[in-house]
Amino acid sequence: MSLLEICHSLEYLPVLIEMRSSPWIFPCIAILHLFGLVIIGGAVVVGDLHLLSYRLTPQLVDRIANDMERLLIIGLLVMVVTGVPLFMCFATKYYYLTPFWIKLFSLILVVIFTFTIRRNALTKYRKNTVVKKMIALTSLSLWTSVALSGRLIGFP
Amino acid sequence: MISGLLMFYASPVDKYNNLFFQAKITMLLLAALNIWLFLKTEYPAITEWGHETLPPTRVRLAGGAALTLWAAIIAAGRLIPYQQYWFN
Repeated sequence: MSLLEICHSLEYLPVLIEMRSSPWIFPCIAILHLFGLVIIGGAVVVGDLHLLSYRLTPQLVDRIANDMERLLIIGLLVMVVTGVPLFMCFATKYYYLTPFWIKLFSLILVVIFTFTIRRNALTKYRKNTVVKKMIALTSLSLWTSVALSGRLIGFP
Repeated sequence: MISGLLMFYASPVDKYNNLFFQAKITMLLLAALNIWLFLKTEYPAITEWGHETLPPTRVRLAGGAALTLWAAIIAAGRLIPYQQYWFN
């Protein structure tokens, strides 16, 4: 079974047909999806600006990084739980959309980066300003790619 | 504000007549009023409560109002394109 066939069968599950025919279920899930992205956005901006030395509060980098990770996990959970049914609703359409694949690829990359490279580098090189700035810029770029490609999905 | 004004300028009449847009702008003004009130009344005394684990009730209310209003602003903004499906 090809990926396209899987997408097609997902889209025509009875519950998804019901969801598409409702005028309010899809927009309500889309709002929750946006909330997830906003939570992530807040955590990433505060955490990464702190690494770039634009400090909003005089707290330690470790403390900010921990708080940021906790919020990030909550935001990610919201985003994934709501993102799956949103994808399934129009799976065949998304299969042909390049921005969707860019979003998915960027999301996987940034999650791996945040919970492996970022976490280890911040412990190992906590005094190295250059490393901290590179981490912040990579993280900001990848999250920007997730947000922008996500927005582009909505354009014809 | 700049990007929002540009988007409004793209279709001002449609946006003006859109209920979700009207709700969004109203809540945006309320959020601004909330911040102004907070800065005017509670913020000047921040040295008194800034280090407390639990800030005073009025401060927490201002924070709660801000979070609720901004969540509602996001929701209303996301619903702007749905006016034609729900109300027209």
